[in-house]
Amino acid sequence: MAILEPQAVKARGGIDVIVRSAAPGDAVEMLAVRRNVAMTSEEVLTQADELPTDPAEQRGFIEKAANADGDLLLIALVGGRIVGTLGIKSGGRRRSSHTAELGISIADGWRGKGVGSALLGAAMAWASAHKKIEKVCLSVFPTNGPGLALYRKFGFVEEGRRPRHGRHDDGRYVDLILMARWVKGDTA
Amino acid sequence: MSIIGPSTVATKRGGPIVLRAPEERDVPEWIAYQLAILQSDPHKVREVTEFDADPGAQWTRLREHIDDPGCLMIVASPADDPRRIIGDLSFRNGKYSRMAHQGHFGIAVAADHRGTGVGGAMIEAMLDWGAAHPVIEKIALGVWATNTGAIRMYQRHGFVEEGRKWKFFRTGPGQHVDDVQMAIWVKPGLAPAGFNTHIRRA
Repeated sequence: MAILEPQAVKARGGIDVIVRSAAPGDAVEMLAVRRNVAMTSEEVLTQADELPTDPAEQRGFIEKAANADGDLLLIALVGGRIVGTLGIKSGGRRRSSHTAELGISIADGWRGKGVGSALLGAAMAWASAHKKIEKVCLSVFPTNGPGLALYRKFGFVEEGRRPRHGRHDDGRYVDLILMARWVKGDTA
Repeated sequence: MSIIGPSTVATKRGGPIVLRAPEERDVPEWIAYQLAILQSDPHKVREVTEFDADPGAQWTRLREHIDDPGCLMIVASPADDPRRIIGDLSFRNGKYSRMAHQGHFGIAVAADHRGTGVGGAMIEAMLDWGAAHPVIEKIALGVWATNTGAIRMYQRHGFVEEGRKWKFFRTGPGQHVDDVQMAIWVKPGLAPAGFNTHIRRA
């Protein structure tokens, strides 16, 4: 069970953000946020037509994360509305279960306001305290300047750059930067 | 359907082998082969206890892989013992459109056939398949940093390192091995400086 109880975070500019684990009842609104992000940002892997159309599928993701000890699915709320999401998924094998892959989406209009920091701060605190997770990994397009700045702020460093690993539908290629951060003090 | 062959190819230091797609009647041999690999090869993320040896489940997985147009599944058999499996290669491309032009593969060779050229033959077959594929442009892999023989073989086939996921495999408390990421291009005119392009054999 990986469930984060609601935490109040004062984001940049004094915005009050609540960060908590997504609940099954959040599925419809979460899907709307994912669609909003897919339509307003080129920095995510999934495009709008690749998202689930059935909220039951999103509910399945939420329940799966809640029931998996090494997974976490967080939402950030401002004024009761979801403005961002963060997912962490641990490696599925014993030899990779010390690693976890992280991804963040921030709704249009809420980028650059500290919502990502609020989500990532809560997630990194959770990962640092987790009994198995030692390393958090992520991948980011080099065109995502705010994302890169956020990850660097939280201590992520580049460990690889896959050239032309992404391809936009109009044919433009984009590299994929691999970043990671060790979250345990003993073996940096 | 993403399958190749069956085609008979010579190996560098062993006898001729047949490269082909797995069939349902291969499933018992496939399971025995997988269990032997996981017991004998230390450079696998999966431990033998994490393998699902149920024949129905294995065939479903193989079938799904074979039926996916962006995936490729090869098994290798000795030409004179065509039901025995001595190697396998499994390639999968990205699920989403922005990642569909590239994919990762994994490979294994039975302990008594390592170093004979079975792996190289499967890799060349995959690269030829990729070069002819309508979508695939880039083929990548991850290899344990301690598996220096495999890294040298991938370099001989043209793969170049593009990243090193440090401490990605955990072999015990405080014991980790890096995951070396390598890649090659299979379509002309796309490889960035420092990387190679596979030229399809005639």
